Amino acid sequence: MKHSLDRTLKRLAATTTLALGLAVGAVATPALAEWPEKPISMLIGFNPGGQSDLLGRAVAQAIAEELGQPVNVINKAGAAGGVALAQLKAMPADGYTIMFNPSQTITLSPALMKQVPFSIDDFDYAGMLTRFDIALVASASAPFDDYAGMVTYAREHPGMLYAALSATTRVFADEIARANGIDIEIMPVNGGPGMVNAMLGEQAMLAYSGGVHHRYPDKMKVIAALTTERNVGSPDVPTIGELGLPIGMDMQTVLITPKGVPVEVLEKLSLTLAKVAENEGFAKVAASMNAPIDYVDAAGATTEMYKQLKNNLAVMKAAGVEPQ
Amino acid sequence: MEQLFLGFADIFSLTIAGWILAGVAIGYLVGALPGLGKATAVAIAIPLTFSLQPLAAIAFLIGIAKGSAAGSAVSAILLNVPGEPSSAPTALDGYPLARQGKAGKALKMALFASVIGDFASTLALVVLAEPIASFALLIGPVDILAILLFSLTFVGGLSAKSLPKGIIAALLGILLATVGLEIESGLPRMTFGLYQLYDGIPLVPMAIGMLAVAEMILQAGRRHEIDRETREITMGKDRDDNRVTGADWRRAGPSILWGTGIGVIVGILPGLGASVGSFLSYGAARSRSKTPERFGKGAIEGVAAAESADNAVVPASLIPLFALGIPGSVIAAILIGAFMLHGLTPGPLMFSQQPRLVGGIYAAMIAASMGLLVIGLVFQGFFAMVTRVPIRVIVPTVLFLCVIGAWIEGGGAFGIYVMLAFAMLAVLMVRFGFSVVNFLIGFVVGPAVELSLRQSIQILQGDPANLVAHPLAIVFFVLTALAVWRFGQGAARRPASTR
Repeated sequence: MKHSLDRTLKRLAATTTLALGLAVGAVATPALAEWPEKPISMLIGFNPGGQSDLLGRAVAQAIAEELGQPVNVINKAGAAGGVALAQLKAMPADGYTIMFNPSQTITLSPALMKQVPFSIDDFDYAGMLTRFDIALVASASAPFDDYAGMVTYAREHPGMLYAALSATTRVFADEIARANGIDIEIMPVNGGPGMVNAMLGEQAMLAYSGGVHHRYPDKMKVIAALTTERNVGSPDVPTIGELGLPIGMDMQTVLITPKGVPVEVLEKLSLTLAKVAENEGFAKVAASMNAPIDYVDAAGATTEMYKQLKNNLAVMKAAGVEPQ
Repeated sequence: MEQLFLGFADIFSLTIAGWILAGVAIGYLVGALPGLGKATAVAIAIPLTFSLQPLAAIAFLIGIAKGSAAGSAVSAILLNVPGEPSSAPTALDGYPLARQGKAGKALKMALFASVIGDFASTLALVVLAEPIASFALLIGPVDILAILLFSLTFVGGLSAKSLPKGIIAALLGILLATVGLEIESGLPRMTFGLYQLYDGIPLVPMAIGMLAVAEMILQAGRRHEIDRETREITMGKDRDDNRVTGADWRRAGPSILWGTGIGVIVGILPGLGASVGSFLSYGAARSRSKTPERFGKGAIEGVAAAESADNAVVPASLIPLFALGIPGSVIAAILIGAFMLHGLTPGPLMFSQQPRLVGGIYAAMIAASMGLLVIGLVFQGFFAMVTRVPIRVIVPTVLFLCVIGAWIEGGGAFGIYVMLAFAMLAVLMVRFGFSVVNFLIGFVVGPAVELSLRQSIQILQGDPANLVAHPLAIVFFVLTALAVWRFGQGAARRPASTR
């Protein structure tokens, strides 16, 4: 309660300063209009070196180029970005602490965990930059090429192995199995590299992929997009929703700030992100990570975040997943 | 082969050779700083290479990886603070050697072992990448489980004093490794509602606490003795203390060979990493030794075993990356990003599409091994001056570095709490005769065992009879049973006083 009051006061103060500044004009230029006047810190919720880190660092560099201020990357790994989000929430909303993270840490965690030390309302969203081509993939040697073929094969060969990376990724296999009355066994793997290993080593026939499969076009085939819209990298493959099972869940990378950042700052961040999306250096990095660029502005990102949260909660609830 | 020679021609330009040396030098310095590991160093350097040409960029990054793997031995030996987890076993004997005035010897042996392990492993990469990699794919979770179980029997050899206490320590390590998100369901396990524990207990703060901080707590009880020792620790009291003698080579030679072999195998197998390699190599050296009681008190072969394996993992983990596009370690996973950025897609096609660049990378890696030797010898002269500083000054400095390392790698203040908690645990363990090394081996190997066990159950469909399709696993299961039997026999016969 006190917190939100503080925020309201801060916002009020900021608006008043701005109004005063506008009124007084040249005499007292508001500090806000000059943002950024010092280096910005960007939190990355993953260890250095992973996809999220490398992409985030490229974004930080591009933002620094556009704004003319250094952007310092701070890695704060833990709970798929959750530890860093909990920290971001406590930072001052002045635009000097920002975070670049996949959206699902915010839009999916509440469906899985009872105690999440942050909520969607704790942050402002300055925009979305890239999209994840989440898909159900199969090893290239699998004796089927599409979803219908997969279901038929699974009916004849119960116990087909599916490589899952986490609780969420299990849900897809469980739901597909339940909807079609087939038996899919789940084999746990350790992250994206573990999935690639299980696919190339042909230890599992099916897998969940967050987009890394684009790197192995002749080793894996896409069976269905597990998002609500078709994947950018494989536009011919239908979504799981089109195939009659509305369990698609989207994920984008989002630029996040603590709640209550001055509107002008958020606006400028959003515009900067639009320029980053056009930045040649960033495009090169994103392409090498197979992260399709799909810029969404601040307003659109906020809408998308709330929509995504609602959708994910509904999907997980329908699947019978209770927050733990 | 021809491509390799062309590659050498390519790297002998001033710029590329310069980037290789710069990479090794930066890596060595970063490695020597407690808490900053090779993964961090390479990741931070990647954006710096955006504007370089591909060969220079990749050579630079590989130089950093190799340099920091070797550099992390420096702080492990001089300060008892491992620069990264994989150098923790180096500290076990390296620091006692430094305390005995043999810092120069320990540092040189660590460097030579690193360079030999690195060089041999690089040659393995060049010669075997293609033939071995397709074989590595055949090694599935079932075989990895069997290999890991076999390697855990080294714990028996590390428990000369009391086999039950040794096993209890290792099991405690495995128990604590189960903290975090459970691998199959993704649900939190033993986190007690602590959000920071979702990714498990962070290894670096734990290792720093158990090795460095605990050591200092134990020493604080004998301050006067230490003051007296300080006056005795000076460099160059005896020429032999500052160099690696023929006797040292005879002791350490087999350890280096074994360490390199273990490092190469661990590097090729997916998901194990340098820490598993160096801990297993140290364990193997001690269980092979005729005088295991010298370990932990300044056995030069302990340093050699840990460092040779630590460095051998790096090039070997590129074997599955180059030949199949599968990263064998964290460092390889990071390098994938860098390779793609510079237009090189790791995988079998790489050899046919860009043979010249691959040749260049191989040549650069071999050159980096040589550069490592030169850079290491030059820098060690400076670092070794630390030993002239009185211990009364070193202790607070080291504690300060410990706190920083724990803070960086453990996600802030939480890392410091972890460090302190495990320092207390280690003090109690040492006082009651439980092996800290066994504990750490259990902790490092535990998660890999759990994952491969669960995968194996799924692959075997819960029926042990399906093991027939995995002959390699059967071989290692039999070896495991034999090793357990042998250690059991040995423990029964051995007098209780030896350690």
